[in-house]
Amino acid sequence: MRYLFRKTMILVATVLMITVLTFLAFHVLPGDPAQMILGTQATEEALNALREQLGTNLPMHVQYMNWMRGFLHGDFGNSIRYSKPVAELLSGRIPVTLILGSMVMILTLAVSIPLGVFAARHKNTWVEQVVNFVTIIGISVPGFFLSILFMWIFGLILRLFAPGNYVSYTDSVSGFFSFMIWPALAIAIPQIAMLTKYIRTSVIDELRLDYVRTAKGKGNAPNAILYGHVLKNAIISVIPLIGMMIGDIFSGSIIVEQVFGIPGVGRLLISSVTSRDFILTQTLVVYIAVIIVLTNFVVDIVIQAIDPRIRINNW
Amino acid sequence: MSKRSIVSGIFVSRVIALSCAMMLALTGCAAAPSGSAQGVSPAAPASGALAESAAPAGEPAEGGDFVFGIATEVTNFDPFTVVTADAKGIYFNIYEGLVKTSPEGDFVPAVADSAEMSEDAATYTFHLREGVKFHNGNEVTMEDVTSSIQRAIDGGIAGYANIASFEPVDERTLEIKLTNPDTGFLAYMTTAIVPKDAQDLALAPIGTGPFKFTEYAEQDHVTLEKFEEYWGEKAHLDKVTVKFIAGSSEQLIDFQAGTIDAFEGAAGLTEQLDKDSIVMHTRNSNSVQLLALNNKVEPFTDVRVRQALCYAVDAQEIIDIVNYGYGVKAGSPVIPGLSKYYNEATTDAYAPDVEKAKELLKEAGYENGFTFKITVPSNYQVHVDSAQVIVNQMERIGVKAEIQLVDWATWLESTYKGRQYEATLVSVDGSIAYPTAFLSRYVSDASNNFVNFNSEAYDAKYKEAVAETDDEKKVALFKEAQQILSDEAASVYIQDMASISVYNKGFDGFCSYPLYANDFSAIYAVK
Repeated sequence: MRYLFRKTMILVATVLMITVLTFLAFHVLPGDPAQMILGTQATEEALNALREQLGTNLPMHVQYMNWMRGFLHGDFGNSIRYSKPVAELLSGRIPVTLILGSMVMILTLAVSIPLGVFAARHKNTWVEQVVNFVTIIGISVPGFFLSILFMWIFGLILRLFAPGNYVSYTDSVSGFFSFMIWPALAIAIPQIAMLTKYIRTSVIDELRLDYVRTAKGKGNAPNAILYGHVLKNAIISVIPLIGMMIGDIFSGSIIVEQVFGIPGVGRLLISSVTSRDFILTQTLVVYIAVIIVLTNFVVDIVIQAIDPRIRINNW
Repeated sequence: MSKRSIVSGIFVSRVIALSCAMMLALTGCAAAPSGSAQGVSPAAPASGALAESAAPAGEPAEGGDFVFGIATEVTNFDPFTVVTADAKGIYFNIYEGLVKTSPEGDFVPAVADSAEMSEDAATYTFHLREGVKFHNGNEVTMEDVTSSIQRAIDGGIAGYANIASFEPVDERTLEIKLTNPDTGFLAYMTTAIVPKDAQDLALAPIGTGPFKFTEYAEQDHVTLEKFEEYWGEKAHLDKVTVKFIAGSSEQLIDFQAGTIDAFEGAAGLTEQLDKDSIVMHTRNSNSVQLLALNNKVEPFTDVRVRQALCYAVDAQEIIDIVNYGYGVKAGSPVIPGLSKYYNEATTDAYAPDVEKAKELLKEAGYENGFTFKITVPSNYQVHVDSAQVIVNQMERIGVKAEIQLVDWATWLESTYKGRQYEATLVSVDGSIAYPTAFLSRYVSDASNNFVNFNSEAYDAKYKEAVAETDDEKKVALFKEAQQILSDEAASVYIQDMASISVYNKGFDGFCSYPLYANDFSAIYAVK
């Protein structure tokens, strides 16, 4: 219980710190949302009227406190750029990004675990060299480039989907997934590459341990040892990594949503920053931080549940 | 058109111009063969002659859906608050003023079916058209018109501050009295007429235009639908979707995939398309790209240094390298397309001349050159690219220019409003097709005089031009004002950038205007 309490306190402290940092960033960044909306032709009177209406005429710290007060009462405020409740803007977008993130996660695990084991089994052969080479490329290619490449190859040349023609899951579930698989792949590839490398190393390390020799000595078949004992232990050691991947997947989806034109949270975050929409940015940042901290928290608990060697003090 | 008293001589010509333009607008534009340059379009670019494909004019089919891609999202559709170029491009289809702009740059009747100007240009009388309906089905009444004018005054819309009074004479006649006489006042009456009880124009706009607004999805699209009860020639298309696609590569891929039927893009993009499968329409962006020099910052306080930079910048080279030859050289803040008022003598006033530039620098005491920073808004690739060409051109005269990229919000706040910059590369448009829209910011104490230009001679000339009621003299005065800006080298004026629209062959009817507008009512699906 004390552990849970401590974790919750850490969560609250992290989120609070993040909101303060966002506030400080906006404090330093030049930019007037009213001018952004009205453009260069706007008169001073029109600007002042809009600033008053949006509440951006108030000092930054007052805006921050107002936002915080509302937030604690469950009111996320109104987006400055879209003049609409933030909650309303988010409600349609959160499922999109969550589904996209889950698809990336599933793809990553489904591909990198077999591939990592495969590479480990073929240690010191040309197969391993090929896998190594491909994973290095996968890690180095930036997400936006992969996205454009996918749109070009799978959208334009092979005609497997229509670029730019996002289909909402409320309109067609199959249409939604057959579109989303491509951005999911674009985000997943660097993750797959990284996880494959880790699993390969982890399996190789496990194979060197004493229990493997013992199992061999007892006459177990190599495959039985690999899949019955080694793989489980190898996967446990990469679970903390999966917690960190959540953050990467989110930052990956910011760019990829933009390129593929997906109405998700990541794309909204970019526009909220460029349009200096303080209220929207704060809420989005808090939301993303909470998800990342929470998933890491879940990962911690899962590790303990499946690995008796790990016990967190003061449980 | 107007059977009523035509009071002044000027107005006779104005009314004739109105009716002619009206006919052209209806016949000329609607049945335009594809590829023909419509509207006010000055000399074709010197190089890279208009590469429009000469497709046979298709027969207009009624109905159809059209998807158009634009780069900048419009988030607020209130015509009395948001007056950005991108917003106006959409407004053009939803809203109409008492008059509206024709493809030729004239002001043709819209909600009013005729207008008269008093001899002293201080009183305008408008006669409302019968049977004009709003998108909500209600007929336009005098109260709607007067409340709309009040909204424009409250919103600080350009030109409305000059209105001394506006009174209905009877149910269909409105008299507007001006504080300062202005023969160009009709230009301002293009601002929207909306229902007096319209509450949320920002997200639920209602106007009298050929299309009604039906949906806005943040970060994605705006949907417009044909207004069946439109008073004038009805739109061909049933539905227009304006899709917001920020990246140029994404625009290109979406177009090639058929997700969008047309888009507006940079010259470099269109070079990647197969010319036989598309129809390209080139028009002026109706904004002047300039290297703005902060006249209050050393060494640009010295007119000789500013002139030297004018001689150093080769506008044609920028047009050729960055815009593949599309673009019209400009020598003053007024767009060359506003040919009646544009001072042509300024175009080549500073023909590229490295020696002369060096000489001027020497006179000013900068024999060994100097270093300055060009602040460029990074969201405009065309300005970023142009700045790189300018850096090279500066090297030729021994001046070192450094590019500083900033995001748009920062540019607006620090550079434009705060005037914290040495030089900046940007393009400036006018809110209306009238010289005051381009020239008023150079008046010494203008709040938007971001180049910090200061000249008593200019201030006096500008004031005189605005007050003049004789059309010919007025034109001459506006040209003289531009001459002062050119002689004083207020900044380096480069070009009116080309705006290139690419259509797939399924659609035709593109119509260009001397202001930023996308006239979807002229577009039709090809049979």
